[in-house]
Amino acid sequence: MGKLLGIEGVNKTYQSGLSSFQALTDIKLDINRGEIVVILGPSGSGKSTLINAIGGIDRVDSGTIHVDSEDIVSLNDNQLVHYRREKVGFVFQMYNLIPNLTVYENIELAANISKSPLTIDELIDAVGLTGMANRFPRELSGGQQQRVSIARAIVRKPELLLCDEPTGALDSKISKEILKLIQQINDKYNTTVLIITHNEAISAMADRVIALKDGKIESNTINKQPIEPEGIEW
Amino acid sequence: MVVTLWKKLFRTIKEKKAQYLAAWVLIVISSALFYSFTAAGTNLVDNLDTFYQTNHVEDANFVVQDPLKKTDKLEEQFDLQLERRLSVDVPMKEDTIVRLLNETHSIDTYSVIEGRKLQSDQDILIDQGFAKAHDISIGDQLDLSGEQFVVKGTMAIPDYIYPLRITSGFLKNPSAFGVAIVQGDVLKNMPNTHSYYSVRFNQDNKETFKHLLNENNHVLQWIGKQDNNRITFIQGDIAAVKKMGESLPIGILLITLVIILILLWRLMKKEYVQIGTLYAIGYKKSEIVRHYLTYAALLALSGSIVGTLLGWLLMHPLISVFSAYYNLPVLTTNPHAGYLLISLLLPLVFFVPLTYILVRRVLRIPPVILMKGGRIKTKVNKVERIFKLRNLKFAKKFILRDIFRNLPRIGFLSIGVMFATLLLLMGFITKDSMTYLVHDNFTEVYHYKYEYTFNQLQTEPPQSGQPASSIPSAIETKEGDQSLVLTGLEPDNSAIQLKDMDGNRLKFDSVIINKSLADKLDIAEGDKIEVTSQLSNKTFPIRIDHIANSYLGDMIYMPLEQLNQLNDYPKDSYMALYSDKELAIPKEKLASKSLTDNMVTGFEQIIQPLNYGIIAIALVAAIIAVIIIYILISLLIEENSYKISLMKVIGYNERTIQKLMIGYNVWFVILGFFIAIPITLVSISAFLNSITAEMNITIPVKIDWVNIAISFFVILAAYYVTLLLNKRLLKKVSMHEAINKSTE
Ligand SMILES: Nc1ncnc2c1ncn2[C@@H]1O[C@H](COP(=O)(O)OP(=O)(O)OP(=O)(O)O)[C@@H](O)[C@H]1O
Ligand SMILES: [Mg+2]
Repeated sequence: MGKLLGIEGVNKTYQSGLSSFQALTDIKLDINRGEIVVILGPSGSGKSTLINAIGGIDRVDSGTIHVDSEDIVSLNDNQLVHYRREKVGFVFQMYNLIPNLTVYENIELAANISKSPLTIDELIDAVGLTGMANRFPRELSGGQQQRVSIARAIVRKPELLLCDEPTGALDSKISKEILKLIQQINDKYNTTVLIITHNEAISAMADRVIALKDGKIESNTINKQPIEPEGIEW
Repeated sequence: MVVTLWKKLFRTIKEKKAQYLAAWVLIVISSALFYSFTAAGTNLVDNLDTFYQTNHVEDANFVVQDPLKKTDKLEEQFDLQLERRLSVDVPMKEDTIVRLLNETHSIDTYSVIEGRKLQSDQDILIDQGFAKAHDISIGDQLDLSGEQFVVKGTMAIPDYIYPLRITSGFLKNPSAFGVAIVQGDVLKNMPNTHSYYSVRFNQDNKETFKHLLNENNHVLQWIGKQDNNRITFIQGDIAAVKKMGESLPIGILLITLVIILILLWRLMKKEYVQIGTLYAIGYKKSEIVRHYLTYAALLALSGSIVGTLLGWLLMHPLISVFSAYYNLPVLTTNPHAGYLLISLLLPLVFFVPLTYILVRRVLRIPPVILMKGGRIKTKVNKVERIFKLRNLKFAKKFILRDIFRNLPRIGFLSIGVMFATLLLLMGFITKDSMTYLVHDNFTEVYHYKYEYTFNQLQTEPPQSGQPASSIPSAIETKEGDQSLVLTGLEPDNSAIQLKDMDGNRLKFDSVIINKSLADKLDIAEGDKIEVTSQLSNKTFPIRIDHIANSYLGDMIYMPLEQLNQLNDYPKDSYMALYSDKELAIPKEKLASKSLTDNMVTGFEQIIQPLNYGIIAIALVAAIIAVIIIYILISLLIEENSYKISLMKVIGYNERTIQKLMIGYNVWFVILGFFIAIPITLVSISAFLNSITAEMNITIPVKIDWVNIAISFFVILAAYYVTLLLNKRLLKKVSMHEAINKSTE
């Protein structure tokens, strides 16, 4: 269980007009391969900013972010695209599916730009969408859409699965199913998972829980006995 | 591009098919116009050049007092070709004249279009237009001046490619005049045969040749190729076709470009989140750029391919209409690879750079912000702040705010309507200007029926008719020689009547220049110019006293006495007589006798195809107007769908919503229309000037207010049609949108 992610001295300031806002302050964080990490924190504490920086879709002002010993802060745009293709899968709160592509095609969109993607049909079965390959997102429930989004994220077998409030728009029963799916993926592919949530209860399933406040890491605790998502008390 | 993204693209286009189809149709129209007009024009030029070359078009024709004796010696001495021409005008029916010409061998030779060459004295070949107008076919018998001829076919000759009765005329009239060719000996035995010479120079020795002719003979008439409307008109007309083909499609493409930019910008704005997501899942910026560029490229290429194909189909009838109108044999038609390629690629070249810039601009927004749906602007518009909207009534406030927030789109609406109006008015103005030229100008200026030209200067006072002398002349200008006709008239002449620019009748006791020549030379009253006679090469100064409001030909009129004096002609001598009735003049004394064309009836026939042309142009203009207005209003509805939905929820009915949201656009349609009027006048006059530069006339720009009113109603009708088309779209905006905004 080696280290996958090493963050050191990361700062990020947003400039808007004359005022500036320090969203991340001196972040230091190590995450091991295969861990499920839950990031907690109040709204505006910098959770999304952090995960976007790790995912290589946003830049930080200073510090290093090593993924597999490669510092992604020093990568140029093209190298970052490469990094995202090879190592990262994103899951968003609002699913962000392309509305006029079918389930299959939405997943294919990510598979297309990968050298050795998973078989899409198998994956559709694996995320519990058997028989829905040809449906459009508007013909699916929120939970089903999120399953598509997860399938799209993992079709390229990423090392990092970054989920920004994946259950934020879903009720507790569906949320548990989604979390279960994420956990299964973590199990099966040894994918390192980062889950942002407002919901402290979810931290029960995590190997590691990080609490952010005002752009700083307030706590970083190892959960000795993570429980199955079904057991989470909502 | 990745296959899956193609699917997204096609589905997006399908969802918004009306808008994309509309833009696509504009591209098709543009390419079809471009290719058919330019390729047809170029093919006509090629065929004309070939025809002129293989059939040895003359450089000039001239009349001399005494027949030339040793033409072969002259040919050798001056290294030129010379051929005697014979012509006789024979009445065929009432008001119909056939001009019989002898068969030539080295200059202005004929081509058989249908049928076979002349073989015997009874054989005759006639011009196509005349044959058609009089329903004459091969094998028919013609009784001309007592001789029996058998029609062996139709033909074309270079010096009558546009069969005008007089070289300075400008409207052909095949039902009243045609040319025919018979073998040379036939004409020698006919009465009233007129003889002249056609010449082709191989060297630049025109002046010395003329000089020699004048030494022991007199050149009575000299008409250079460039002054011969029978030869030059076709060139001006082809130039017009090509120019139309080059300018009109560019205008349409520009409009389409703006439409496509608006469509794409709107599309990308709606897809901010999707773009951000594509980024996040590992797509490169260049791949995303390519995806959005493909919209434009796909429209451009598919539109230009279909358009060019249509253009190819359109080119052939265009060429045949044209070549039939002019008596031009068309032997080959080529696709003209250059134009073909431009036609196929022009829209692409037009669209890609700007759409690229637009797409790049959108993609400069950081992906995290794109994923949040972009920066949300709620700033109050500057213009909006200047006006204090608060004090206005609700409806007015609402509408004004909408206008301020949509200024660019509204501006473009006006510009689009302006363009459509321009197109529409162009057709009408061309027609109105032609009508003016013929009805008002020609009939007002010429008041005689017969023109008798003598074969030598006359000094005896005429028994009846009004004496005149015309000398083909030239003025040196920076761009080369400008030719003109210098006419001497008695001060009280009434056969030709001119008015000055204020409408006052001018007497011929002064030097008068007509408006078209004055404009070409940029001359004002009181200016002095140097004029050179083409007959004697003598140069003399003249002072211009008046400018006449006439556009027919390039003319200077002066008192006959002054003309005689300047040219060293005997006092009171004259070369021609104008008369209302037929005069009894012995034919030995005449070089030619001609009847003025019945311009007005000829005009009605010629204007007929123009009428169809105008209807076609009006249709295209209306389609363009409908497309532009439709796209803009549908975008307006789409962009404001949330607001519309909210209004529906609150309880507004569709009519009120339409009034509030769309109704005001009519004022900008009207605005565009009125801006178009002066712009059209200016651009038409530039257009007409450029095509008539090579011709012997100027077409003054005139417009009839009735036609302006018709255009206005066409444009307004186009607007109301789009309202109907958009009604469905307005209906489709659902109330759910306002209730459940977050789904978007
Ligand atoms: N583009 C931006 N420009 C300016 N400030 C920003 C921008 N993006 C985020 N911020 C600010 O940075 C802070 C951190 O934002 P971030 O999105 O990381 O918070 P978060 O913890 O994800 O909150 P939430 O739980 O609401 O999603 C917030 O105060 C936010 O207002
Ligand atoms: Mg967040």
